[in-house]
Amino acid sequence: MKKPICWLSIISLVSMLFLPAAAMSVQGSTLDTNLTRSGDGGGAAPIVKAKWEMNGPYSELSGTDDSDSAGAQFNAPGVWGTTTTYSVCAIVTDPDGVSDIDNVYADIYYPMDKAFHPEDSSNPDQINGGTDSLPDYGLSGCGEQYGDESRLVKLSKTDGYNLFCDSVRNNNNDLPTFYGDGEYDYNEICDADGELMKETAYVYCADRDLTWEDPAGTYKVEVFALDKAGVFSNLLVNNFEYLPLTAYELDFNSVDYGSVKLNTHKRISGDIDFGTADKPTVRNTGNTRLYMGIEQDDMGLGTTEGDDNLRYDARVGNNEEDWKNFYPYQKRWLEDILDLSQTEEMDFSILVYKFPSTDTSYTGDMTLDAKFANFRHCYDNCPSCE
Amino acid sequence: MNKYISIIIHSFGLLCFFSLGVSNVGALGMMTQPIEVDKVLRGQTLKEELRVLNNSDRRGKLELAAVGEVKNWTSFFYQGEVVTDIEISPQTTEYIDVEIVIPQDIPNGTYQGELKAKFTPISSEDKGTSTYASVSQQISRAVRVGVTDQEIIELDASLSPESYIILAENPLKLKARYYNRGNIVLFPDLQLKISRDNKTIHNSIYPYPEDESPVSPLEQKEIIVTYNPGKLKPGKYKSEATVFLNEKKIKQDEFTFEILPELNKEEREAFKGFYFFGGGLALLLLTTAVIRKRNN
Repeated sequence: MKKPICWLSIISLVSMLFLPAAAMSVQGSTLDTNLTRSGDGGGAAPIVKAKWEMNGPYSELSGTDDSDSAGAQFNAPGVWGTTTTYSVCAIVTDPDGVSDIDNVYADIYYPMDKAFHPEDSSNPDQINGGTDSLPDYGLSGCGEQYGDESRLVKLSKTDGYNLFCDSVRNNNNDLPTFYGDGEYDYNEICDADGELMKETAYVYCADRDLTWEDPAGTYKVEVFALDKAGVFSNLLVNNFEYLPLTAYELDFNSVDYGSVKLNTHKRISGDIDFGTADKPTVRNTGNTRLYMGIEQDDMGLGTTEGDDNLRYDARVGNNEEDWKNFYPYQKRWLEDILDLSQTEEMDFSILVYKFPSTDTSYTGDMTLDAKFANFRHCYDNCPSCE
Repeated sequence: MNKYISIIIHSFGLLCFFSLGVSNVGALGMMTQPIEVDKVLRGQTLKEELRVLNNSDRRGKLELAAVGEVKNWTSFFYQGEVVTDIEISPQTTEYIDVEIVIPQDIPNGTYQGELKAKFTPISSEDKGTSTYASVSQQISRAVRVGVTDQEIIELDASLSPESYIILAENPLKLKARYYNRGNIVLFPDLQLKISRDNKTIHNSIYPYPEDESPVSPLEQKEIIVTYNPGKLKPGKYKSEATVFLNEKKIKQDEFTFEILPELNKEEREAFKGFYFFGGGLALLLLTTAVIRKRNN
């Protein structure tokens, strides 16, 4: 009798130990985990006294940006698939001593008021849209964080002093943003009793990239520091400007209409394969959306009783509604907006009403134009999306 | 053998394909931040810059033009010369200065137009015998100018010394940076006060230099004021600099600077090196020298 009781006890104990785990694994559920940040370890908080962005990499200690305006402005590269490097820098001190500074971090955010692709399939772009009254909407951007948080690297005393107190102060004086209401400025940081000279503050920097297709606009940068007890500094916020560059690339430098018959549309169709010169393709290499425009001479076909002897049509993309016709020397803006980093076909057509002579060869000049188009809107601005 | 011939033919075909693809590409870009200026006076000159990129592999002619209401007010300058077109090399960015002069005889109001840059490749291609159009690329940048007859005086200023540490008997150079945000020319004055232990050592007003052109509307300008401390004792001095415009205080800054004791030749060279080349070694030598002098 004792043996079965003993076995029963063992089985019960084993069940108590393993059944809950087995049950969880059978259910396949996720486990909730949590932690509570231990309270501030005391001591004074670090202070981010000043911050700025400049042309990167920071190892070059340039202290420059791409415009005379206050704060930082950066040019877009305008070349497909490339990036431009900039650096985020800050001057940080800690009343408990600089050795108490654990790390300095930076977060970058896309412009608040601009969205970019993809378009929302539930609220697609409209023909003749992209205007103030009929905007296109996008699902990215709109103040989202850009990439991961960066950890800034401490510069040596000499590099930090030369960068801030010489290059920036003397050559790009209105670049930095200072914390507070006038307590901190160049004189406070750089003068004979200044914190950089006394090594009670240091310059910290990190490199970041902007791609050729990131939207132009105002990017927000937040910098903060943590000390070794986990105490947070002030959050110093400023903005930099990614200057608008309207740029486009063509894989053709001529349009050969070939053999054209009287009163018969002759179409030249493009494709979206960039690099095929006989099938025209355009792609946006700038950081703005853009409208394509077109104008062409009469190729020597002239007029009859004041009326042109030919007419053209053109479109960007392949929507039938997007064809726009125009007469010689008439400027026509095409409907379809070329989105950021979008590759699109360009189609052309010619319709000759009358050949002025028996010549078989007619040549002319076409000008393709581009101008800035509105960015996609964020949903906060969408009255019908509440 | 056929396999090798096939590889050679295909390679040649691919080479032709890619070389055609690259040589046919046109790639133009222009910074298109709209030029929007309000409250401009008649006769005022607006200065801007066009940044134009030719990212193609082709050399070309870049034609520059203004259209719309600003057409006859606009001139383009390249390397100091008035131009209507320039030659632009492959893979190059060019900067063209633009001046928009507001005529004296126009009424108040808003005037709009566009600046255009048009790229036409320079080539000697045979256009063949069919119906054929050569393609040029163009980009436009919007201009909007608001003309008024109301004078606006607005000046931003910042002040700081060129260096916070100066050698004995060397001058203190104070940099005043002005940004004229108004629409008339300005001549700001500067007051420099130097003190030590609450005792004023120097207090002077430096009028705007006569040989210097005024700060034009929307211009940023740097003026350097030099104070020679002469035989002032080594040590730290407090300085207070104030910018005045028509006797109205615009900006005041305070800073401390230090006059070093006489340095020997080697130390002077290190000091020069630091401020002219910003070298780490120079800073090290300078710091060592300062500590040594202080200890003495």
